[in-house]
Amino acid sequence: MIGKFLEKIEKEKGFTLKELLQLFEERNVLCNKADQVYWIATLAERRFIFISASCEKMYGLPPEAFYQDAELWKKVVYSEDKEKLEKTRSVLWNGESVEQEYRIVHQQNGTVRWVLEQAFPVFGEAGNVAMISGIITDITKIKKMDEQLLLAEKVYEHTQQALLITDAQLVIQLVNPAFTNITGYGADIIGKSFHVLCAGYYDERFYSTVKKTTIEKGKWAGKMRWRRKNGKAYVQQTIVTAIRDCEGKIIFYLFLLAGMWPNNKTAATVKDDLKLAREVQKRVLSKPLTASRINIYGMYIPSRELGGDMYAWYRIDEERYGIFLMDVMGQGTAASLICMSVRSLLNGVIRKGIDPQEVFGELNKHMRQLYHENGRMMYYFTAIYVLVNTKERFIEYASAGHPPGFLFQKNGLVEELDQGCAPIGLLPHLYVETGKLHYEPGATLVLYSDGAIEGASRSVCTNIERFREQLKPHIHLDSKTMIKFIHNQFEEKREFPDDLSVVVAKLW
Amino acid sequence: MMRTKHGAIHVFTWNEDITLNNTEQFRKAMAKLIEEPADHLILNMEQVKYINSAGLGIIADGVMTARKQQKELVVAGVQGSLQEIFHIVKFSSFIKLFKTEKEAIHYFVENDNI
Repeated sequence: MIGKFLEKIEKEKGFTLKELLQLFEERNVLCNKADQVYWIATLAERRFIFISASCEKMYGLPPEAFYQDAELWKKVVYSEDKEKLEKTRSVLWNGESVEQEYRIVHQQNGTVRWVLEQAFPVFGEAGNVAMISGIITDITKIKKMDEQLLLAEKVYEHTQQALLITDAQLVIQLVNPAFTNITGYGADIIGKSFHVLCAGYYDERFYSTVKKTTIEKGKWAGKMRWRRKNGKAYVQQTIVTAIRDCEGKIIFYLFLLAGMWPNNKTAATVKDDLKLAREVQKRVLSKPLTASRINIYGMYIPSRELGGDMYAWYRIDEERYGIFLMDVMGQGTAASLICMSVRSLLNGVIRKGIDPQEVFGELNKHMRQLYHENGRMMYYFTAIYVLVNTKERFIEYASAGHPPGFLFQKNGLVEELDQGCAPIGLLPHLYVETGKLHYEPGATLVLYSDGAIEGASRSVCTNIERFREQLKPHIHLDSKTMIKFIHNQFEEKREFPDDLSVVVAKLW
Repeated sequence: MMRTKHGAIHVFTWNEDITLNNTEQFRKAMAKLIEEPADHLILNMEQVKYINSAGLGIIADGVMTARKQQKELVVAGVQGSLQEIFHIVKFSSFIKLFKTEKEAIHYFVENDNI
C-alpha cells in the first residue's frame, strides 16, 4: 500500500514521503506539536525518514541531528530506562506494535521527562512491514499527577485520622480505613448520601449551616454526632473543609474526625504504667506508727493519676520523731518525680540534720542542684517539718511556705505552726525561722496540704479556719478514726482540683 | 496591664487573678519588667485576689533575677486575700511587700534619694 502511494505522489507531484510529512506537519495534520513528536523510520536501515520538528522542544535537538546520527534516539533515553527500551525495540523491528513509557533527558537543559511512545508497523505492498511509525507524547505532567494521587491514596490509607470525602451534594466519594475502623462503613457507603452517617440526628438545616459556614469561613468545626453501621452513636470533634476547583467552585467536602483515634494498646500500656507509678507513690508514704507516746496516721488522695504530695515520718531515736509533709508546685508526672527524689533523700537528711533548719537547708540545696536549669527556677515545693520530742513533750517545727499545721492542745487551745521560711527550691539560700511549742498528753497534731483548704472562699485564712473548725469536734478520736473521718468528708465532695494529704499525730 | 514611670521607678500593674489560663502571659510580662532600664521596679497587684503556685514562683524568680542585675523588684498592692497568700508562703522574708503603690514609691525615694 505505502509503496504504491509513494510512487503515486512522487510521480504526480515529485514529492518524497519526507516532504509530504513535512507539509502535513506544517498544516498541523500529524500530531499536536506542543507535546508530541511523530516519526517514521525504515525497517531495513533503522533510520529516521522523518521526525517532526517538535522533537526540538521535547529533546532539545533539531530533526537533522536525528537524521545524521542513527543511534541518537538511544542516547537521549534516561540511563535507567535504556535497557528496557532496547528490549522493546527488538520487538518493534520484528514488526509488532509497541506501547511503552520511559524517560528521556532534554539535551539542552538536562531535565528528565516522562514520555509515552506508541509505535506501529507500516505495511508494504505485499502486506509486509515496510516501515515503523510512532508517536511520542510527553506525559511528565500526568506522571506527576499519578504519583501525587498514589501518595494521597497511601496517606488516606495509612493515616490514623478518620476522614471522609463527599462531593458538593454531600454524596460520599471516599472513606479511609481509619474511618472504617470507627464506623464500620467501608466501600459500601460510597455513592450514598452523607445523611446516612448521621441518620436521625440532624435535619437539612444543620447540613445547610455546616455548608454555609464552610463556604464563608473556609471550615466548620464542632462536635458531630455520627451513627455507626451497627446503629450505635458516637460523638466526635469534626472539621469540615471545602475543596474548590481552579475556578473556585466547591467540588468536594472533606470531613476530618479530629484527633488521632486512640491506639488502644498504647493507651492501655500508659494507663498500666501510671497505675504502677501511683502504686509506687502510695507505697513510699510512711505506714502508720504506734509507740507509747505517739501514734501517727496519714492519708493521701491524688487529684489525678500522679500527684505532687508526699508525707513521711521517722523515729530518730527513742524520744524523737521527725514528721514531714510536702506539696510540689503543680501536679502530674514531674511533680511526682520530685516527690520521689526528695523521698529518697529524706531518711538520710532527717537522721543527719534532725532539726528543721538543717533539714530544709539540705533539701533546698538538693532542689537547687537538680531542678534549676541555667539558674532559672523550674520547680519548688512547700513543706512542713515537725520534730517531736516525746520525752520533753515539745515540738520544734518549720514551715517552708506551707499552710500552717495545727496543734490542738488538750485544753482546747489551737496553735498554728506558722514559723518558717520561703518554699524550698525558690531561693539560693534559706533563712529558716523555727517555732517551738510545748504540749500536754492528749494533744493532736494535724498537718495537711493545700488541697484541704481549697474551697469556696478566695481567702486562704477563711479556708484554713474552716478546716480547723471542721476538725475541732473530732480531735478526741484516735488518729486512725480521725483520718477516716476526714477522708470521708473529702470523698463526699470529691470536687477538689488539687492533691490532698493529711497527717494526724496523737501525742501522749 | 499597665506600665508607668515615676522618675527612675518603673511600675507594672497586673490587674487580674493569676491562674493556669494566664500564667504564661504573666511570666512574659514579668521578664519584660525586669529588662526595663530601671533599677527600681514595682509590681502592682492591687487588683489581684488570687495567685497560683506557678505565679508565686514567677514573682520569686523575678525578684532573684532583678537582684542579680543589681535591681530591686518590690510588690505593691498586697492586701486582703493576696496578703494572706504571701503571708503563708513567707514571701516577706525575701521580698519587700507594700499595701499600696504609693508606699512602694516612697520606699524607693526614701532609700535612694531619687
